[in-house]
Amino acid sequence: MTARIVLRFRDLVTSEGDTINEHRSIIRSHGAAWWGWWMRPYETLPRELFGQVLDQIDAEHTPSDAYLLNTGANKLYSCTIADIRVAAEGSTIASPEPAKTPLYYHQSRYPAWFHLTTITDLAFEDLVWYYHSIPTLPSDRASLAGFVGTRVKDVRDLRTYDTTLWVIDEHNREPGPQQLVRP
Amino acid sequence: MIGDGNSPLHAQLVQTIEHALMTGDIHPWENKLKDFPGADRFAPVLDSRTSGKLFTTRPEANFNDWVGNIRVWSHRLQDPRTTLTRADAILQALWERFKSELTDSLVRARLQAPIPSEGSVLCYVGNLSKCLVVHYELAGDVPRLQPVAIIDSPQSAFDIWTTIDHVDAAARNILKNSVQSGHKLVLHRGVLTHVDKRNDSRVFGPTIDTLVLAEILAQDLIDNAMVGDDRSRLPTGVLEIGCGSGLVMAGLVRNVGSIDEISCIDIEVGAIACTKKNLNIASRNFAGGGLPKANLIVGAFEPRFLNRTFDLIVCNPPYIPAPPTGSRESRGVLFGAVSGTELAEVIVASLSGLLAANARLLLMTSSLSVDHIMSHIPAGYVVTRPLGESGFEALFDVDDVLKDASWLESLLQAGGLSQRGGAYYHRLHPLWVIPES
Repeated sequence: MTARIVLRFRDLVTSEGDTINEHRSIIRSHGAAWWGWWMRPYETLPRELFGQVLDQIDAEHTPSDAYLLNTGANKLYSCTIADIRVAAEGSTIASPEPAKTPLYYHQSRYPAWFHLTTITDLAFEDLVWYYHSIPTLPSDRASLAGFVGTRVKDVRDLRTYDTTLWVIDEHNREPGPQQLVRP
Repeated sequence: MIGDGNSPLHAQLVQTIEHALMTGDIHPWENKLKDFPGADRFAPVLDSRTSGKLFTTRPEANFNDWVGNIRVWSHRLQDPRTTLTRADAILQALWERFKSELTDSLVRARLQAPIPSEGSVLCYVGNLSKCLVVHYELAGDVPRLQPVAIIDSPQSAFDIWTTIDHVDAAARNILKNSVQSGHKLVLHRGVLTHVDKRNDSRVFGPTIDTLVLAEILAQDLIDNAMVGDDRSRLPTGVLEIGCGSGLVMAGLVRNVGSIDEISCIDIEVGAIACTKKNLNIASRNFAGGGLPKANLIVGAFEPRFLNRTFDLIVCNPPYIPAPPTGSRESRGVLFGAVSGTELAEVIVASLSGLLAANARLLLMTSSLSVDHIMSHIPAGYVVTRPLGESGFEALFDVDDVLKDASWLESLLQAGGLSQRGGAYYHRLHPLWVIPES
């Protein structure tokens, strides 16, 4: 079981699919791309969570696995995070490297930026997820009773809590029924 | 947000931060914080500062340590595991704002002058207590700026050779290119000035003298005005005799809103062209003009032809006593801009016809000739020294003198020049000359 971040996005200022395409293009040419994370006014920056991710990256010397969910198209992608930069409380920051950020928002400012080294298409059916937490919501708003530990049956279920970031527990896919393999 | 966003104190704090951005001096800002609730959280910041300057370094640190810090500063401050103090966040915001404004200035300046897409800017901050060398790359539409070196107490406008041995290889190359480049970019009080030394070899400056004059004017006209000092002293008509690169007038035009007419005189046509260029760069409303009425005059200073008075006259005249009789060394192109004291003598003799009521002259002199110049100031004028009796020590690097052994010896004998560690120094003594009435 491993906790993973899921980042929400939509193709609001790009053509369908181009948010991913633009970032992939930069990854191909520069080895990594910066992904700006926007949060809703009622969310708070999960500084502790991001710190834990960076600690894990430092300890394991390898990027951290995460996911990107296009809630407009209900498409899921896996990604790997090599670094995270955050703004001061209540503030925003520019991309750490505008040259490694898609042109359509390379001068924008966000509460945090993720340095992604891979983005891969993924089918949700291949995954086993359980709800873990919604760290961007204040605890009095995140009524998780009966929620934590339950299985995510569909990516659209994540939107039960209308946030821009979720944390899920990722389990290994359960083995199928035993089969007798003839020699 | 700091404090109550609607309080007069908050408005004053915002104004103070704006001032800190322009000057690089955060001391007034730190003092203001004491009036705000929670200011005790800033106590560690206040105690750790050795001076009230934005780009200060810790006492035990190498003088380039701040530069090294700023390179990792953004990363450290943006690491979610770092506990940011509010002071750190504000300082980071100040640095980001400084970069943003410098970038804007460079982009605008490139529309006026053939400034290369990559180079360095010498940023004189903290009331001339430091010179920050910032390397820029204007690749595409996303500029990159990074600090390369910081020079404490600069004594010469382009003297960055002393820092080269103290920086890493990458910075060393940047500094060397900056010294060797014909493009000189100087930032002072938010105003960017450009001189192309390859094509403007006869343009004088900007020198440390120029910066000292500009800083005195800024402190007198801008800083004092911000705290509600006597606003009747703000000038409307300004004359600069010997405008050179235009740095002084560009700073006045940009930062003193009361000025509605300027007059710039220089014997060199290249200097007038350079001044015009830098005035345009400094203009607030670049697209639509925004400059006051400007009289740009190529020629020698002839007071009888000006036929008007001014609220403020500024001049950085030659102040090196002429070479001894019989000295036959060849002279450089700027010999006339540095040698002899006749221009200063003519100016002070002409004050009655040039200065309006409540007007002032800011005249640069040096330990080389200050007593001589003061002896020519007519009765009826009060002279004050904005830098005190000790003045401002500056590196003496005038080639025409250094190559002329007899001239150099005569200046050393006269006592206005000193020698230390293989270099020569003199002291700048700017003078305010004010009618007694």
